[in-house]
Amino acid sequence: MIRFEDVAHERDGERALNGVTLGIDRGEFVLLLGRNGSGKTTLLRHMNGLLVPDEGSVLVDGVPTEEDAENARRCVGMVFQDAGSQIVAETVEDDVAFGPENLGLDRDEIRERVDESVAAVGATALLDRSPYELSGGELRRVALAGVLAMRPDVLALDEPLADLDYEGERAVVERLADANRDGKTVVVATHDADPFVEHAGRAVVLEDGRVAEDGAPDELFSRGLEGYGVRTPCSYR
Amino acid sequence: MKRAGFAYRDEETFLHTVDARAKLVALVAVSFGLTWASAAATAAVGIVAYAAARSAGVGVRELLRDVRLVLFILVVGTVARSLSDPAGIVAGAAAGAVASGRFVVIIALAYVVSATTHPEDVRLAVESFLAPVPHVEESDWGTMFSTAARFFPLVFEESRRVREARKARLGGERSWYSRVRSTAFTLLIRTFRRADTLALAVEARGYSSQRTSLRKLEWKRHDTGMVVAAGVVAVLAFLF
Repeated sequence: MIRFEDVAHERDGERALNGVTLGIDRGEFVLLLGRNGSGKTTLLRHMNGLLVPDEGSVLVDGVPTEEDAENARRCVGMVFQDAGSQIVAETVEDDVAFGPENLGLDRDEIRERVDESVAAVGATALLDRSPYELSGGELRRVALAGVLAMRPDVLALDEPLADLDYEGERAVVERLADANRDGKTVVVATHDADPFVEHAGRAVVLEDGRVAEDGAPDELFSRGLEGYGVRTPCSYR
Repeated sequence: MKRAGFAYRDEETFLHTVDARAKLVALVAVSFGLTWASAAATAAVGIVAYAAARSAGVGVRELLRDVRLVLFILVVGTVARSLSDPAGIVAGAAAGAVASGRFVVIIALAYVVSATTHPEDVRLAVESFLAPVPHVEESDWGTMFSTAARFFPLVFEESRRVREARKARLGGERSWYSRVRSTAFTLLIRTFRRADTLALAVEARGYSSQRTSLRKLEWKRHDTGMVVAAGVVAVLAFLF
């Protein structure tokens, strides 16, 4: 589905990614772990074609992102760390419709996708609300709905639980688990693996822009990842 | 969170049912007529604007609160005009007051249009106006307008955050000039960052100039009536 081939990327004069080779298959639930500045966000943005590699290549469905960024954006829906900054319209309905509108769909199809995706994140009651009136948790659900409405094959989320209370966390994790059960590939960059660990089938640890560890969460957390700045989930302590 | 100034209000008044294109054409026509209007004509159009605001559920107090910065600038302009007019202070103040009055009425009308027009309809109206213009990508311009509408409240939000962060660290104790200077600089940087993120968000969500829309504009008989009425007001304001 997504393939990084010896990818390097420089940001502000430093190597944010340094020779990353990684494959993510369809239907996987992958945790991207690592301390601040390890390259998680940069890696996610390469999947969506927002960044292109300085060296190497990123292929989404076999197509290099530098050749067809639109394909990458159709296939990989991305939710930013600051969900509020991802909202581009004045009402929740318009915001969720933004992606399908850009796909050039007709009105009935857009309506169907908007209704379906807000229902999937439990945000139907928010449709007519302005983003300014929403809480952090609601904004994150709306951002997720906006991405789901594009029906991407891959959901890439950057710290999706930041600023959420316990209920908000649970709601987001459940939606992602549902999406994964429905066959979507889910990639989550996070500091806190705990809420996701029972759903994830794979964990990739980044350190200084390189893949330091890659394997089943059970195996990696049993060994302990504190050396990479990753807290061990409660169930492994 | 407090509703941003000029934000759309989801209500069911008559003005909400008027097509966005009709409202924009009416606004431009009346604004044009007001440019040459006398004090009496300006006051008469002001009464029309007041009635429109009331019927749209917009309170005068909240309107004045939201545009207070513009009002302040107009007051300063009027004072400057009265002090610099060769015809004297009184004549200068009168001329300045009429000019400012025209602006106030135009701003009030724009506020009412903004409060009663769904932002997506503004985009579709802009696209519809630009569609006949050759070599213009109307969809890009429409999206630019609607994104700008989303961006301005973000700037106000950033400004509030910066002010609160300063207050929390006793920034309020410093002089007025020092507070404004440091806030403006921080706000500028944060605003550029927000603009970057917003642009990135638009890109990440697959922006395409072949964009379709969930909404659709439908021109009805009362829309024609609105444009004709606005045309009459504009002509009368121009003549009197």
